[in-house]
Amino acid sequence: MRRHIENIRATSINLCVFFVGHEPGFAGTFTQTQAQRVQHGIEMMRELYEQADLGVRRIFWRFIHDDDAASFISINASGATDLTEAFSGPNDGIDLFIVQTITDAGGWSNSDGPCDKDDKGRTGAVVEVTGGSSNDFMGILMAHEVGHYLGLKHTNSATNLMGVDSNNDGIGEINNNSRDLVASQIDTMRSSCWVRDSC
Amino acid sequence: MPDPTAASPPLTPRFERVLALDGPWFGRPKPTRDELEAIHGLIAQGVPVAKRYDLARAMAIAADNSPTPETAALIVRILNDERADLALRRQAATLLGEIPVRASAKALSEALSNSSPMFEAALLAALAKVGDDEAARAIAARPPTVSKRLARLREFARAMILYRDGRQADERADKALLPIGQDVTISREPAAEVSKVMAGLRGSTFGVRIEPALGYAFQCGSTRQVVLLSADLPAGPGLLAALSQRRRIAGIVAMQDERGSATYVVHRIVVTRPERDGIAVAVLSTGGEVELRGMLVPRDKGATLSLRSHAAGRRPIEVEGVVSDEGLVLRARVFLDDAAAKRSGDVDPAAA
Repeated sequence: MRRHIENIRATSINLCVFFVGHEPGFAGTFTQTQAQRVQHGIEMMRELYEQADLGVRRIFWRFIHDDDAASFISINASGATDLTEAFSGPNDGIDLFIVQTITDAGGWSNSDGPCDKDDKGRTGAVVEVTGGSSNDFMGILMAHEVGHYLGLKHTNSATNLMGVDSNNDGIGEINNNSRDLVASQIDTMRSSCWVRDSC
Repeated sequence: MPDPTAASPPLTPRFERVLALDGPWFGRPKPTRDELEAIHGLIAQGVPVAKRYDLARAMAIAADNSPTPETAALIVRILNDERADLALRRQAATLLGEIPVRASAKALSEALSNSSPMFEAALLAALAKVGDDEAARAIAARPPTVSKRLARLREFARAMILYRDGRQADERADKALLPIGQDVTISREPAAEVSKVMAGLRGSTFGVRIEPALGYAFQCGSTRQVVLLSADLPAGPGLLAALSQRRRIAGIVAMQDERGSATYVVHRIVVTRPERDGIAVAVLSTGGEVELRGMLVPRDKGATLSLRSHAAGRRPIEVEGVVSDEGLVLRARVFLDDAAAKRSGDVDPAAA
């Protein structure tokens, strides 16, 4: 906890986390378990970014009603772009949309995403809420996609947070052990326009 | 202007009823000259009279029936009276916007300083109607605001003043009234490039068999997109006849997964339907939203295509095209300044 507080006081990013398809009281698509998984994911993400001395400081929570989210609950790369073009959170945080299913990857994000949310194209990261027994993987996936947004590309190491694109199809493969960051990646992340100096 | 201390004629019984607090609404009553003088006298008594009469309605009747410097001067006193509640002062601002005299513009401009956002919005809406050069300068000098709506109102009011007076408008004013589009280059792709896109295309094409020799590419943000037409359509002169025969999925727009990627996914679907005056064309998202719609209309030996944004909350886009014997030539414009329609979602305190 002490380390975390030190971290978010220093160089950090903010996130704007969207539950895509949610109703108050968990009366919509999102379940409480999924919300908890996302919250755990953020904690995991904080741990992973600690390697870069980069905090995840402020979380702006947002949700999109089921009616508005109907065509976005289960999407692919195309839908991910449409989603980020249709919605944006406060300008101080990277938009991170949590959807139920992504049909062609675990998440989508531009590499080195735009600093202006009014820009054209994909202006945020989109991940699916993962199932399975490990809550950690949710955090790895979130950190991976936000990592793209901060400028990181796939690597040639399966233990690296950014995973490997072994079949060169633009989709990186990551697993529960994909957690490392190397010095050059740290430099890239910390030079992103989304990184806020110490407060 | 009436002297508030001078005696004015009393309200007639009709206007006693019209201006009674919580009284019935009488539409837009036309006062006689004496009745108007009595209403002016009432307004001249200032904010305290609002405890006995409907001062907002009195001002509205005066502005409606006597949009003169005299009426404006009376309403300005209410506008500037900080004892008045915000609703009354906003009403005063709105009514001054209906009285195009110098006093209105001057008072509205001066009230901009120290105005709250809600009050400023009313002042700006009025200045859009009656503001002058001085008002345009006062608006331009306002400190920055985080409110997109207020910023938009400022630009609108300032631009309306500059356009109305025929003054030298700047780029900001032009953007506020007549957004300037940014041309998007759409280029015909060589067959080899189309083949590469097709090779990298993942997922369903909604059953469309792609014509391997014909594609039109453009850049959207950091990613490349390629319009691919159905192989069932002839590329040359027979295109219109084929589209006129029946409803079709005429093509798709393939989107690069991300910058530099060799893989593509279907991002848009182009559908056509023959109609009496031409061929209706829509470009849909894969989730079913109609993004663009328009018509392909026969002209001389070819046809012209005109598509406009359709989905709510999306950036305005215009696509023009010409179909001739040489094939299809496309041109597009996107209006980046109108992107404010993005939605921001809601906040659920329980979930947070």
